[in-house]
Amino acid sequence: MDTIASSEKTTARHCPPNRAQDGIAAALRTFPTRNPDNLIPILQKVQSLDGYISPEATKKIAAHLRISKSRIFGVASFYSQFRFNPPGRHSVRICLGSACHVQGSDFLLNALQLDIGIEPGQTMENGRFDLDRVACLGCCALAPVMMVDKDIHSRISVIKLKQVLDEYQ
Amino acid sequence: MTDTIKTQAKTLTATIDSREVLMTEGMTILRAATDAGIYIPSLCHLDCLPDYGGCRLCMVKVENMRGFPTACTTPIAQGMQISTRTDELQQLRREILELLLSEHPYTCLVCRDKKECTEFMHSTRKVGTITGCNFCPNNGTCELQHLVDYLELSEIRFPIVYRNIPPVKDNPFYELDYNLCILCGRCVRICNEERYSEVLAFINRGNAALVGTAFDETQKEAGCEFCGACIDVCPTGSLSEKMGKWVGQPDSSKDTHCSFCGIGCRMTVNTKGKRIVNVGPEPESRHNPHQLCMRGKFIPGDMLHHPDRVTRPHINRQGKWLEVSWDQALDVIAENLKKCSGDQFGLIGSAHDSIENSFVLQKFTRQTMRSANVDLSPATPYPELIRDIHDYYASSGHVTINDILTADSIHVLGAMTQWSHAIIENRIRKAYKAGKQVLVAASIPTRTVEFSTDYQRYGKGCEHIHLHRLTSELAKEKGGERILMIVGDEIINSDRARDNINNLLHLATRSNNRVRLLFLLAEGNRYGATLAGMNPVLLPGFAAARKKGLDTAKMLGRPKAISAIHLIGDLPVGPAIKKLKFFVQHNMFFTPASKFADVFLPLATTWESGGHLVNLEGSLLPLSAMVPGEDQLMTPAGAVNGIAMHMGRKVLFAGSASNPDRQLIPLVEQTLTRGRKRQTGATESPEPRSRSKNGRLTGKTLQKHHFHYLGNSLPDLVPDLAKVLEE
Repeated sequence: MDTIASSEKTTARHCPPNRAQDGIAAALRTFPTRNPDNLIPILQKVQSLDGYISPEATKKIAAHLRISKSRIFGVASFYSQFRFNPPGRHSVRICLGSACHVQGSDFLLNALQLDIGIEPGQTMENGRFDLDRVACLGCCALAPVMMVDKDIHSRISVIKLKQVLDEYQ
Repeated sequence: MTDTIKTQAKTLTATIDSREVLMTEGMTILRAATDAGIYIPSLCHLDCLPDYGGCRLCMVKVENMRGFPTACTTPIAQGMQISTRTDELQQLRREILELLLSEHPYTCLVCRDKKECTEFMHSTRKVGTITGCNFCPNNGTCELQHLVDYLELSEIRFPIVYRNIPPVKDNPFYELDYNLCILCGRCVRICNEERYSEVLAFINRGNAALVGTAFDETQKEAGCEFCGACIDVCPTGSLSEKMGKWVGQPDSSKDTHCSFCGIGCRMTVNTKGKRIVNVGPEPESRHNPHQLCMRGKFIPGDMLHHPDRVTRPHINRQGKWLEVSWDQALDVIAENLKKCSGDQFGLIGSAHDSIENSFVLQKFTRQTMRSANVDLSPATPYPELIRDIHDYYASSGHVTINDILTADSIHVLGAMTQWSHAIIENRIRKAYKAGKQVLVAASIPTRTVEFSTDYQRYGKGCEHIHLHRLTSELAKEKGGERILMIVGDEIINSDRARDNINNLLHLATRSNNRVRLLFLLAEGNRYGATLAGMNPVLLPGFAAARKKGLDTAKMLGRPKAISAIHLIGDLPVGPAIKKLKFFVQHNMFFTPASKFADVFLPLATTWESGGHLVNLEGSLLPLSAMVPGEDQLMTPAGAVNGIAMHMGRKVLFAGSASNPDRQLIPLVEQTLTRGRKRQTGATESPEPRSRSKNGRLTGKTLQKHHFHYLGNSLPDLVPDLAKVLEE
């Protein structure tokens, strides 16, 4: 039962239903057409609705503002706040700040990449995790630090890393 | 652009490198220096784009000015003292260039063996990707190589960062290798600010920054129109044509005019020996490249050096091609044509041919063969079309392409300018971006709609209804607004072309020149060829023929209407062709129609022979011979002259085929400038008559009319082109 429920959940998050797409259309209507000045607010709005900037949403924005998809992507990819793949069920953020770096967080990141098979900025194919690196989580005394969803995991080692990830399915 | 600088501007004096220089107010230092012949290095500046100031290499020292301003963005002022090449500047520039080159494979730039390498090519060539000079398509014409020489840079202190980005080769016409990119932004700017294709953009940030498309789409998916403008401006080898990549560096460049569509764009063709290397700016002059479209930029080389090109005359012996000499071929033709002179004979020429050829061809038909059946293929459904257009231009002045930019409102009627006349499309987009009113009406929405303030769609074959409504609305208006109507295929090549054109001409005349018309002729020289007399009802100079001949449609429509055809180029196979007694095809390639030909002659195109053409604006443009071509090729004029001689008739011209009549070109010029005063059209009722078939114009028409050269289908010859056009 559990697996079925979770797979339904996956599809829901992976392919936003028509409702969300309609949401984008409705959101776009609140911005004037052909005015590229509103591009960043629009992108923020789309990301808050879908969780990411999808090619389909980009196409809609392009049609609304009458600018090309490439230009939209160029702007969006400049800012780290925008992501281009659907978020996973759990988001893993690994800190690469100075304190964590000194404690070997880049080894952790490598181990994590090998373990779940994705690079920072990507989402696992089964939608379980998405991975990102952050500069500091504000608890340098606990370095190296990893954050999964809203939980902070401190003093991570390669072995502890696997145990932590097993808690999130 | 020079024309943007007003002539009334004040003249200033300044000193550049202790030379007194005169210049006009508003000029930038870079512009003034270039005009005075002083070189200032720059990697991002382009004359045709707004000033950018990105690469910082054009820094100069100006007395009493803080820091080092960039020459491309600093306007010149009275009494400025500018130095462009001090030790301090050179050192700064060297440092900038070093940083730029830290991500560009630079072995070719600072190699100790550079001189010997260019001369003796002694180094081994073993790697597939460009890590040094060996495989760079720009080796020898690279702007970075020039800069390194200018700045005497001999060492780069930074470690090499090879980004290892896989080169993109899925593109039909050009390759992208972003490992060579220095992010100068020229391609992005020309794509967005000059061509408005908006395909290329800077993506990502910092070290990961790249020129690319959204979500790693291919260029085609991103809406690339393959105009090739980005290749023309790239200072490195990261964008390169596939066509000329392995030919080597060009050894000469010539200017000519493109004859694919009616615009007749200026183009520069770089050649090496007998081969076209590429069409693009002359090496080392990338500052103001001619803007072209896919056909002009990529097709000439592919077409002329096509492996299937026929280079010898052939005779058809029971279905098998026998290679013969020109004398033998001409003998066979002369013998057979003697039996078919008079109305039995028809000649079908091509609207891509030069005026000279067209003139001789019609002379051959009318004088030697005593027939009036001479026409172009594909024929316009209305033979007097060009004369009416000419009369209109003669009475109300020529309409030029740049009038699109000055008109207040632009109507685009039934045209697919994005593919058919890309430069017109470019002007329409510019006008739209400048805030002009652009109204598009067509049966198929094209990308032009994105650049329009209003779009009206009419049903296929219903263009006359829209036109009628539009003209009656405009006739009522009494505003002072200047309107330019761009009249496209769906109007000109419709079955009701005569009504449509008369309707429009009537409106233009009544509006007292407030409404002006620009007719988009599909082929390079339809205007010129008709002016030279390639028309069943019009003699050279648009004089009405006393004896009216059959047009192409009638020649081919009724089997046995005529018994012999001399064809330049290609035609779709119809029953009439199969029933001919004698059929000569003079073409570049064997085509389906060749199966029914008795003699096949190898054609020398205008790219190989030169000539003149008249573009859709009605201006006379010279075509120069680009490459000598194979020995056995002959121009249509040369061939028919040979036929006349072999028939024992009077020769049509003596001397070279590129200048058959010394009087011809002056006559054409005179006709174009004199302008006969004749009341234009408007005699027929503009009421639509309901007799035409519906749905004539589809995507197929686009290919038929615009993607052919001398009747040969370009997508068939260049499979990559077919891929691009699949939509």
